[in-house]
Amino acid sequence: MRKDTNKDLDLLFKEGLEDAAVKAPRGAWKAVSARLDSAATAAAAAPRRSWLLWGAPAFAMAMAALAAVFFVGNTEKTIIQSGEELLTVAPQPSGPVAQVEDSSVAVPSRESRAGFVPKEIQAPEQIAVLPENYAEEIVEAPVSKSEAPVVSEPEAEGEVAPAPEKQETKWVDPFAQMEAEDAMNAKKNSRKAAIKLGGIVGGNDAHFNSARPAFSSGLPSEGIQETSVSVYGIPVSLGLSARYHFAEKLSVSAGVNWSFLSRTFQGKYKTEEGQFTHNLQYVGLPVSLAYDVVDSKTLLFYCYAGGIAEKAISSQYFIYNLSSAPLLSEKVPSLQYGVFGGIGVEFRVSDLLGLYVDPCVKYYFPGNQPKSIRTDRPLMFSVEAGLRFNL
Amino acid sequence: MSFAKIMLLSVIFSNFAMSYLARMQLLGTKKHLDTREETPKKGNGQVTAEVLEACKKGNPRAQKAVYDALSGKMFAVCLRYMGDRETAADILQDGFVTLFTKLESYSGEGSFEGWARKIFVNTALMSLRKHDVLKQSDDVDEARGIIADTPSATAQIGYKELLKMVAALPPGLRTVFNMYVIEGYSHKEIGEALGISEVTSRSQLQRARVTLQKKIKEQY
Repeated sequence: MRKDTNKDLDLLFKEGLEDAAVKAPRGAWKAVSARLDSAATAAAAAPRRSWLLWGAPAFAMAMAALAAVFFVGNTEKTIIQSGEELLTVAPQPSGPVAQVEDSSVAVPSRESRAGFVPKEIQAPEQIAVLPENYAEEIVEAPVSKSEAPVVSEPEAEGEVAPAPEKQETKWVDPFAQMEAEDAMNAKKNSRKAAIKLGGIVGGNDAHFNSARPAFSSGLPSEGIQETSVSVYGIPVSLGLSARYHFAEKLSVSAGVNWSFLSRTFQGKYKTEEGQFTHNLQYVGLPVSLAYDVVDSKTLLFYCYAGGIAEKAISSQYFIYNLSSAPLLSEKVPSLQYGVFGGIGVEFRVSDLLGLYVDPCVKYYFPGNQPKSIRTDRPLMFSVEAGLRFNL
Repeated sequence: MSFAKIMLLSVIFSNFAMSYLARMQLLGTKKHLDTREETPKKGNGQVTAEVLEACKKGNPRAQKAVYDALSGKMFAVCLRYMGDRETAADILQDGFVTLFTKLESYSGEGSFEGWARKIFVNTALMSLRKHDVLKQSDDVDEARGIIADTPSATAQIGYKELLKMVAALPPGLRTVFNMYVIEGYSHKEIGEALGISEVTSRSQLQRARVTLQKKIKEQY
């Protein structure tokens, strides 16, 4: 008896409400339309507002022209290639696993379900709660746009909304959407943080020997008399940095890098005279901000700018063919500061791995630094390339 | 050719490629917006495949047609779950925005109304979960006090009154009742969706039934 009562009650509410309709509030469509329009406008305006999208190629051309002016292209130093290191990321989407089980109460089986409209309703033999003319209240006529079949409020008296015909459809897992959303969000968040490992090649004309610039050209070595102009090697750097997306298109990056600068010149040190080589090694901490201009599944195009503080960890002079040991080692107490900016592109090999190329322009502020290519030509064009691992 | 020249050429080439891709993306979006002025074919108020295709292209008239066809039923769904008109109106808007933005995911299999109803139910459930109104402890003993006899005056109960009764239920009872009786979920599915146990789902359903039967008896 209790089961029948529950069954009848359930049937009463199910038949009364599953296809019921209530007129939506006035202004609801206007609000929905406004939200859709703003979403569409934002999607269309983002590329238009991104002047960097149009300026970036022009900027790259300008940088290429600038580099062509200064670069002769004599690579006197080998380029240090970046290494490989895989990181495991396995965001597992979580969500309910919907399984159907039979209930003690009369509920349509899984096979007979059709979305939210069951294929058939188990009608009880005796419907004590239903009146003889109950079915007349629920009209089977379909709802059309021209009619006004529903009332505006539940309290108001009005016509009963007709219920359309039940459609035979396949049952669809109601939680699949939630799981899909969770998986999409997990995938989206998987690119929030990344580590990059790359090498930087940059510099100016290795045979630069034009007139000295007006600003500081660096501290000469103590005791070594330079008798010719310097010939600079192309600076190389190797770095490791981490990037974190704190907004949809903005990310901050920080890391550490090592740089190697060298130059050769003719000189005299005490009794020794000949060709000298001056090697400088810097360790720096670059920090930058990046803006993603174009972000697709396989390609990321961005621009970035930042600063760097470097400390010279080694400043050694060698005399050619005399000894492999340094002739003179100096300590550099002060730090070298610089700023940089550029554009970059990352080719996404997979969800975890990407190959990036970052051309940029750097400027090193004058300071009490040993003479190097940075002191003579502080504005430098460089290219960084490497691998980026998404965490 | 020196390494530096090779790098420079690759940079130039990549920038041209990026510009081309970006322009194509921009043109694609612009074309998407331009198609909003096309008028879809008008049917008999039901959602046809042509209307859906026009909606996917962002046609506002097609979207309005879909809204007109579904808003009544979906607002009733929202009222059943949220209990009050104002909150239900918010869910209705959220649901339609979600529906139109995720329309591409509708594969065409199954009823479009059923697919849409799922979106609105999920939207309502997310709102209820967000406000943490669903986890209610339940006294199973109290739920056993079911009134055996059923008043015959239910013959005069219309859908409006039924909707009012359901909307007046506490959020937890209302949600379980809607999901089990109207939508046809099992207790296990309800438990997984709402983060409650099957026992709690059953007891809340019983409690909802008791409450509704009391209201029927009182009013009719």
